Amino acid sequence: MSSSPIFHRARVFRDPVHGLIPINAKDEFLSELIDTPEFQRLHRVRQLGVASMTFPGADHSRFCHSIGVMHIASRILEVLRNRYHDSSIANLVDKHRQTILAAALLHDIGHGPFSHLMERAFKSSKDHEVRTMDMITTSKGSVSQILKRNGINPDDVRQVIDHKFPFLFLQDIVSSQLDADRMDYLIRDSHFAGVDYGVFDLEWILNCFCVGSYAEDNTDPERWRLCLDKKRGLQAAEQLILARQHMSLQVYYHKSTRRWEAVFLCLIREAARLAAENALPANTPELVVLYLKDRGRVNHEQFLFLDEPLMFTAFALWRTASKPEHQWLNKLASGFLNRSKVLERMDLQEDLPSHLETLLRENLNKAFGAENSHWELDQGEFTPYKGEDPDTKKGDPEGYEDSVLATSILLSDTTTTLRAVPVAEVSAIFKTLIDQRFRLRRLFCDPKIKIEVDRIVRDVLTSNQLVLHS
Amino acid sequence: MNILIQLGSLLRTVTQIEGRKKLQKMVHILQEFGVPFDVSYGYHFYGPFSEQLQDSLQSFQHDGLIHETPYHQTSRFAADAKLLELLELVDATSPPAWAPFAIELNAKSPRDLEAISTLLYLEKQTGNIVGSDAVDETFEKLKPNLKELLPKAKSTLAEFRVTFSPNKLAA
Repeated sequence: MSSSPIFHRARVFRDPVHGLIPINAKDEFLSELIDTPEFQRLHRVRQLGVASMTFPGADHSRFCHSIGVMHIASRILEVLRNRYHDSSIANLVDKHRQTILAAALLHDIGHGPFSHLMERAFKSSKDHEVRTMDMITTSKGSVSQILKRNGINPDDVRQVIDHKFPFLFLQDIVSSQLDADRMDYLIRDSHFAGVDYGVFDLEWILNCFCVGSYAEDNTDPERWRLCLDKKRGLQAAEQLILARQHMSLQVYYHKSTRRWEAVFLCLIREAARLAAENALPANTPELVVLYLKDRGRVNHEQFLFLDEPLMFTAFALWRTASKPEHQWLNKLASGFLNRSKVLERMDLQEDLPSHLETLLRENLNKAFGAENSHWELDQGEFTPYKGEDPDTKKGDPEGYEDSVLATSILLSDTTTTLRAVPVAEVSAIFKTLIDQRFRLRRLFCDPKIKIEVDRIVRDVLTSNQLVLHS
Repeated sequence: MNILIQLGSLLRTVTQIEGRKKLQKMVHILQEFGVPFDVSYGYHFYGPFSEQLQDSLQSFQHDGLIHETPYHQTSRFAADAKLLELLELVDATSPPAWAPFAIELNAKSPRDLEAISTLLYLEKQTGNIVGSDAVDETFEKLKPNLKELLPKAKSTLAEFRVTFSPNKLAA
C-alpha cells in the first residue's frame, strides 16, 4: 500500500467515448493525481472554448478529455508490451510506463480558462505547455510530491511534455501526429458536437502501433519512433488525418464559433485595457482584475481557481456596469452572454494570401491600434498533415531528415532493422495533404468603425500593386 | 511583430540563407537575443526546431513570397519580389538594428549555429547559465556529435553577448 494519506482502491470511470476506463490498484498514483486541485480544476475548463455557442452539446471539459488521453496512452503501452515481450523495447516500456501515463494524464493542466482561445488574447498566456511543465515540477503544488512519492521523477514527466524525453517512441505516445491526445479529442469532440466527422478506426490503429527506426543508426533506441505496421496501418492513419481535416473545417473553424471567439477576444482586450487603467467595474472579482492586469501571468495558487465559472461571473457583473467608460465592455459582455449580435462581419476572401493579410493588419493597426477591442482579424489557417514533401529529399537531405524526424508519421515493418518510411512517400493522400493549406480569414468589427474598416479593406484588396501580383 | 515582415527583413538583410536547419537556428538565436519573431521552439533531434516557423515558411512559399531553390546538397531561401514590395508598403525597408548580427550568423556553419542555439535553449530551460557544468553535461549528452564544437560555441556566444546585447539590438 502507498504511503499516501488517502487510500485509493481500484477505480473506474464511466466515459461516453471509451466506455469503462479502469485505474488499477497498481496505478494508484493516477488516482492520487486525479484528486489534486490542479487536475480537478480541469472540470471547470471546457475543451472547446466557446464552440457550444454553435454546437450546443460541445460543453465537455478538459477533465474527461485528459482521462481519455491517459486511457489511450495506457492501451498503446499495452500493445507495445505485448508485441515486443521479453525484448529491449518491452523493457523500456516497463521502465517508463508510469512516466508516460502521468504525462498523458497531466498534459493539459496548464490550460487557462477557455483553453486555446485565451492564448490568442494574451501572448504571455500563449504557451499552456510551459505552465503545464511548471505545474508538474513546482514544489508549491501537490503534483510533484505525488510523483516523487510514487518513484516517478517529475523532471522526466516534464521532458515528455517538452519534447525532450530521450526515447522518442515513448514521447510520440503523448506528442506526435498520431498521439493519444489527438485520437481522444477527435472522437470526443465529434461525439459532443453531435457530428460524425471525427470518426476513425481507433481499435485498428491501436492494433497497428509498433516501433521502427528512420535514423541512419538504427541501433540507438533513443532514435526509434512510434510507427504503424506498414502492411496494416496506412488506411487507418489516412482516415484519422481526414477526420482531423473535416473536424477542423466543420467544427473547430466554424464561422459562427469564430464570430463568438472574436467577441470574446474583444471583450477580454477591452477588460484588459480598463484593468491597466484601474478602471474596471468595482465589483470585478479580484483574481480577474489581477489576471487581466498581468495579462495572463498569475502564480500557482491563483491559477488553481482561475477558471471559466469565475470568468462568467465577471462577464455577468460587467453586463450591469453603467458608467460611460464601461459602455463597450457592457455591450460585449451582454452580447456574449445573450448570444446577441455585437460585431459586424466584413466581406473578405477567406483564403486571403499572407501578404494581403499582413498589409491589412498593418493598416488596421495604424488606424485603430494593435490588439484593439473594436476589431479582430481572424487568421485561421491549418494544414491537415504536417509532413515533408518527398520531392525535397534530393535538394536538402539533411533538412528533409530533420523535418521528417520531427513531424512525419512513419510506417515500419515492426522491426527496427529496415528503415521506416514516411507516409507521404507511399500514400498519395498524405502527399497531397502536405500541400493543402486551409485558410479561413475573417474580419469582425464594431459597427461604429465599419465605414472606415470597409475603406481600408477596399484599399488593400483593390488598389495596390500587390494584388496585381497575386 | 508580424512574422512575415520579420522574415522578409531577415532575408532582405542577408539576401539568402542556405538550408532549413540554418534558417531555423538563425531565427532561434535572433529571437533569444530579443528580436521578436514570436515563434515558439520545441526541442528536436537536431536541436531547437520551430514547427510554427516551418509551417509559416511553407505558407509563405505557397503564396510566392519566399522561394526555396535546390543548391548543392541543400537549398537556398530568398525573398520574392512580392515580399520586398510588401516591406516597402509597410515602411520596413531600413536595415533593422540586428542586421549586422544576422549577417554574422549567416556566415557561420549550420553545425556551429546548432551548437549555439542548443546552448541558448538549455540555458533557458534549465535555468543554469552557459559555462556551468550542468549545461555542459546536458549538451554533451544530447549532442555527442557536436561535442568538439562546444568550447568554440561557448566562446562565440560570449562574444555575441558583448557585441549584440538585446539593448544594442533594440537601439
